[in-house]
Amino acid sequence: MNDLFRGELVRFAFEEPEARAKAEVRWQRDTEFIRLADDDPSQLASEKKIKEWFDHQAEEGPKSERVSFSVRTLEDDKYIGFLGLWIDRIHSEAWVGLGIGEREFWSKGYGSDMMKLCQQYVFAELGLARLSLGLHEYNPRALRSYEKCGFRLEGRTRRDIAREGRRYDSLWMGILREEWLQMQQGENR
Amino acid sequence: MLLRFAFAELNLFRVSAMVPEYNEAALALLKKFGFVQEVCRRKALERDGQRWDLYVFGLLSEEWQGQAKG
Repeated sequence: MNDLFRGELVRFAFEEPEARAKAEVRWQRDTEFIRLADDDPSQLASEKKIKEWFDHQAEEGPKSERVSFSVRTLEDDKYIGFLGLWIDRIHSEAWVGLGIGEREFWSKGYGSDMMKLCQQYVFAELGLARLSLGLHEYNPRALRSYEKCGFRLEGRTRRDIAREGRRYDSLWMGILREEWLQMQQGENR
Repeated sequence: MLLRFAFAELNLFRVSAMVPEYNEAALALLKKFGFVQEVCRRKALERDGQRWDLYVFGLLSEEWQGQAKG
């Protein structure tokens, strides 16, 4: 059986709130990163405040509808990003969000490796029927990466993001368990 | 009426709606009001032991203004 938490370039890890806050306080200063990752307005928070949020999460412990991982490289064991899942068991679906805060690890296959681990977790461990995600049209790098991982573009909500004095579309993607299983068989052949 | 409130009073840029594929009445209503089907979330709902698509629709303020005039 495959290791659920170990890919070819990265592994899923649990970081203590101190380490997460230390990284996050640097990543939040990179507004390009924040704008690619989310549609919330960029903000700056103190390391102390960020740590309190993570402390709160850590105290609550694992939840069945919310799973989050920190991501470390296998080569240098460097903490480079995060991946989170929002799980709807009624409809057997999860939404994924991920980010690589350390820029030197962009466009080198780390994101795809994170996504492959995530798909394995969602379909082979949680047994869900569908994995979904959303992204902005001004993030073509992410679109290519997700397509490479087998996601299909299911549509775009027109001009629902307002930034830089103009409006951009949001893209919606999804992959079904059957599609993922088919991909796995293709790779093992 | 609701759309007039959304676009003429709240000054919203767009109105979105999500509808499962089996709700034909809602689909017909949205199309009648000029909503555009933008996304098909394939097999995103599980009901009655079956999986169903979920559509996302959108109507932009400018599209609504055009209709109101025409």
